[in-house]
Amino acid sequence: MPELTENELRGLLTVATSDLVAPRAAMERAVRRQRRRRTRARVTAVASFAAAAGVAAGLLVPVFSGRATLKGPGHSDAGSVPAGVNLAAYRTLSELSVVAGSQPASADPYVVQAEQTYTTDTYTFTAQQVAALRSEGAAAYLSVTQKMGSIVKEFGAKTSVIDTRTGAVITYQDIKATAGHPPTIPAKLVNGPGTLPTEAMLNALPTAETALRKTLFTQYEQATSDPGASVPAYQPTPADNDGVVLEAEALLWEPDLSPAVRSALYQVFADTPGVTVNTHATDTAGRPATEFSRMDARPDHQVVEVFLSPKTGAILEDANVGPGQTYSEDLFQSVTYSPTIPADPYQS
Amino acid sequence: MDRKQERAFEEFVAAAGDALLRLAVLLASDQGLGEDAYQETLYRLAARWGRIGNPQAYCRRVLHNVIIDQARARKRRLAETRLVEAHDDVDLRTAEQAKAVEFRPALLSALRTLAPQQRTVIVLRYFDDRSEKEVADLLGVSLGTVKSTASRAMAHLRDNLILAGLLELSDSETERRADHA
Repeated sequence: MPELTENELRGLLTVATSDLVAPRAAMERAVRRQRRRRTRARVTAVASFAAAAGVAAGLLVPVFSGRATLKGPGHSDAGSVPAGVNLAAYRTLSELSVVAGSQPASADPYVVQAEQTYTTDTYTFTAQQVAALRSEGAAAYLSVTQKMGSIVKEFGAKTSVIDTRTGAVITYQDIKATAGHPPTIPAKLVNGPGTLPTEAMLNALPTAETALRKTLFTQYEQATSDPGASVPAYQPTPADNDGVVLEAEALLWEPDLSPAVRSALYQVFADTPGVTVNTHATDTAGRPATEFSRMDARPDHQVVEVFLSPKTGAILEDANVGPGQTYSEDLFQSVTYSPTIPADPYQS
Repeated sequence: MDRKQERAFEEFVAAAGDALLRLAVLLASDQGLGEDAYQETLYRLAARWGRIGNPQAYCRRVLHNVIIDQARARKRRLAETRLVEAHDDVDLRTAEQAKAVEFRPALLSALRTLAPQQRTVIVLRYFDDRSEKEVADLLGVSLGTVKSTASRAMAHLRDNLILAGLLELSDSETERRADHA
């Protein structure tokens, strides 16, 4: 048998993809979208502020004369609002920073919020039980059930079981939701230690905004300088905040995040130019939410959108939206703890 | 886009869509991500239709950029990598067509072991039949870089296909490895 030649590789790549047929629907969607050319409806900063505060935009100054009190416990700068920052977003996120920071502390690492729905309540533990399990050094597995979607696929569902000591993750996927979409998505995926930050790593994050911002940018630089990562044409800098926002968004969904770090994260968003807010939003599940979003400076101008519970500051949904379409979307449904690895909730 | 432009766009996609989708799947080394990248490419193409001289070249460039962006976004999300199913050893070079299609997930897994730039070079050179100069222009690198990247990527891919049981070693290679052992 000869070595693999260029021609053989050519044949291999051709034959292995020979049955792929481009769906006509993709082209139709592109044409339809182009016809509409309708940008996503977005509440402007002034309109949002007026709705939230019930005042005209002209009253901005008096309302913000006492803004220092709005800053969350993670805020290290009691001075003025940074230049270029949207005032409505600053005010709302600062309030949420305070709310998130006042949630139960690290002894109760995560409390399932009232508006979130349990789907695997067999494995539900009270906060005290979780604390007891941890003090005994027992394994603590954190299950996050979420729906997900992208611009092509229908919404599917998955439950991620996180080993909070090692960062290993088992993902159960609802394969029924993707039936007929070859190749079939496997029902179970296993990713080893280090896949996600461990509880210890999350606890080690700075709780002061300035230090946290610095850490986030360093993380971003490390992530994009991996030997395996191709260097993107556009590289964010600390000045444009894109790297910081991407890393902060990636952290927001972590259910094991301490209230102090979460509070500081919201203050990072509050102090970032370009963040806008809609205080009368609902997430995909119809839950009332405070939505904040920010368009980055990359050539395709992706928008990070995050929906938070106005009552607790917990994350409900996040999405990355391109020019007129959604790249990815995660809707968080429930969080539970268990001392053993839960069974696959989708295998009935 | 007016109605005439829409028709031209539809004709272009009807003619080039299958090849673009296959290119997207290979560049992403994942069918789902490839389909996403294909859809995104069509959106961008439609938005600029009529202002682009060479839609094929434009699509290749957009596909590459979208897939790099996807890779960056995935780093911040839980991995959703498909498991490679167990299979009997086979030599894909001599396998019948249906068999080769069946092993696509394994072939994509092997492609995923390449760095994104290596993958782009390999797929554009040996699937899309682009010249070294075209690949160099798309990636913004020198001709020499394309040559050396292609050579290293071929060797790496070949080793991974052998490891995955999808290629048989040549007799001389088997002997050489036996001598080393």
